[in-house]
Formats: sequence, structure tokens, C-alpha cells
Amino acid sequence: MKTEYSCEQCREQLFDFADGNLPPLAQQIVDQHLQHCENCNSELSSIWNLQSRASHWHDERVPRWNKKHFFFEPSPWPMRMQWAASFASVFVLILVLTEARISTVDGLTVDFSGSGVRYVSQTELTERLDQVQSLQQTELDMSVQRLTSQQITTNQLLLRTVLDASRQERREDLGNMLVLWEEVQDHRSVSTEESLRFLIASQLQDRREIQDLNEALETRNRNF
Amino acid sequence: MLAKTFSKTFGKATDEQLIHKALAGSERAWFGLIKRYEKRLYNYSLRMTGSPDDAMDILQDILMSVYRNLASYRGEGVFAAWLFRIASFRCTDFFRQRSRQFTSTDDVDVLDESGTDFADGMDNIEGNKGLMKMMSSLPTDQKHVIELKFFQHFTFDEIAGQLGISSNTAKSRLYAALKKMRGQKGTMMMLKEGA
Repeated sequence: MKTEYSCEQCREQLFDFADGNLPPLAQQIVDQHLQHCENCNSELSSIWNLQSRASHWHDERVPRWNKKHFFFEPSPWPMRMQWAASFASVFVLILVLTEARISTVDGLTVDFSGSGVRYVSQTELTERLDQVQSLQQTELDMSVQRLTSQQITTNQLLLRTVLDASRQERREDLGNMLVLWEEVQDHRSVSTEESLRFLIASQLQDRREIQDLNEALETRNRNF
Repeated sequence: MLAKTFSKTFGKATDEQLIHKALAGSERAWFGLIKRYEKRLYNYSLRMTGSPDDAMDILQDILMSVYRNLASYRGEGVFAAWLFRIASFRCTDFFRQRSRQFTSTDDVDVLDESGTDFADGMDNIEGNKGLMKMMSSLPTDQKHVIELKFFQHFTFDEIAGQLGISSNTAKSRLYAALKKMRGQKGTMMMLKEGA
């Protein structure tokens, strides 16, 4: 039993028919339709025509172009240098933001808002550090010496003051002792004088009594 | 000498092997892949635009897009199909940008460069320029279908997948293109006979 295609069904199969990719039965049915359908025949002619033109296309040569440059554009700076460039950019940005002033007079000097910062070489820096260290040591020694001297002077002054105070105290003590001693001596002199007077008076009294007694005795003896 | 060494190294490698090496950082593998498809893509672009300069721009655009998206190619399906899907997108973008600059897409360089009118182009219809003239008169979506069917020899299912349309739509666009080309040829023949 043979089936006939409509134009629409035929058109669905027409490209495969033109390519020869249809199964034998479908090929036969499309072929049968094409025998009496002018429109589908025209479509098939167009397909074959375009296939023919396509097959006659001569591939054009691709113009030369720098693929390596296009895909892997070489960086003008190596990777490490890119870091340097970034650092330089940041540094310049900082200089701009801080309104820094750069001077090459007396070495490279970068002035951040009035405070000068001078960049020197490593050797010069070492020499400067040695000088500063030497100066510091000298200053330290002199300070120690000065302090020691001051301490000695202070000690001497203190000692002198203490000694003077001590002398004064002893002088006062001695004065007091002398006054006391003189008072005691005066008192003793007075006492001694009184004792001597009393003794003399006693002796005079004794002498009178002895004379009286002698007189009495002599008198008695005479009476005997 | 260098070309022979290159050919020995990458000549027999499959697309997937070249892609794998290119993704691993091999520039030579990437250039090997380009060498394999460059001519095909350039001629595709040439037929689509009709201009060598535009074709070169599109070729570079396509390859750069492929280069950037190569990691997203999962090895599913044929690489050429994936490649021409990208090519279709890039071409569509090109014509979209071109349509903003020119009122008509027919204003292509090949018509100026040939120094001939359309009728002369029809005499030389078997040549590349004649074909490009004929293609230039078609809308972009019809050009895509003709290119993929008659020059890249994809099946309708593959074309449908690449363009994001149904297989029947692809066939309809193809018949519409054929009809338009037949009409133009008939008009030109009548004009020639009248002259």
C-alpha cells in the first residue's frame, strides 16, 4: 500500500531527500510527490542550487594576525616590576596626599608638611649612628662625672654644716658648763671663805678660851 | 620547521586533548586549537558579513569569547557545535550593533569593494562574492540557518540546539531564505532582460 505525501509533509523530508539520507520507502514517496508537484520541485531545485553554490565556495585565507599578542599580550613590566610600579604609585599618592615637598639640595630630602625627613645611604647612616653613639657616651660620662662632683660637694657642704652645728652646740654646752662651773666655784669660794672665817673665828675663840683657861690655871696655881 | 614540529605535536591530538592542555596553560595547545578552526570560522564570518574586515573582527571576537569560556566547555557534545553556538551569538551581537549604526544591513563592504552592481554579481553567482552578495540580502536569522546547514553541515536538530529554536522553525527559516533568494534572482533576471 503506497502513501502519498502532502506538500507540507514533502517539504519536511525534502532536505534529507536532497542529501540522499532518506530511507528507501520515504525516498520513493517523496520522489512520487515531486513528479506532479511543481512547487516542491522548485524548492528542491533551490536546495540543490544552494548546495552547489556552497560546494563551490573557495575558502579564503585568513589574514595574518598576531595571535600571541592578541591573547597573551606581554606586559611591559615583569611581574616583580609590576609590584614596584604599584609601590611607586602608592608612594606618589602618599606624597600627593601629604603635600610633601622633595628637595635634592643636601641629599634627597622629603618634607612631609614641614618636617624634613632626609634619606641617606647605609654607610652614611652607620657613620651617623656611630657618631651619635659616641656623643651620647661622652655626654653620659660627663653627666656621671658632673653628678659625682656635685654629690661630693653636697656631701662636703652637708658635713661642714653638720660639723659647724655640732661645734656650735658644743660651744654652747661648754659655755653653759663654764657658767655653771663658775657659779659652782663662786659658791664654793663663798663656802670656803665662810668656813675659813668660821674656822678662824673658832680658832680665835679657842685661843681666847685657852688664854682664859691658862689665866684661870695660873690664877689657881698662884692660889695654891 | 617550526610548523612541522607544531603539526607533529598537536596535529593528531583531539579537540578535547588540546582543550585540556590549553586549560592547563599550554599556549601551543591553544594555538593548535585556533589553527584547527580559524579558517572555518573566518569564512563563516565572511559569508555572514560579506566584509573581510568585519569577518576578521568577528573571528577575533569569537576566539576571545571561546578563550574566556573554554573552562565552561564540559566536553558534552561536539566541540565544533559548541564553537559555532558561540560564533552565532557573536555574529548576532555584531549585526545588532551594526543595525544601530546603519539603517539597513544591506550596506555591507562587499558591495562597495566589488565595484559592480547586483546584476554583475548574479553573473558571477558561482563565485564567493556572488554568494556573499546573495547572503547579504537575507535577515540574520536566515543567514545563520543557511550557514549552519549548507556550509557547516549540521543537522536540523543540531541547528535548533545551537540557535535555541525548534527544528521546524529552522526548516521554516531555511525555506523562507530560499524563497527570498529565488525572488531576488527572478527580479534580477527580469531587470537584465529589460535592459
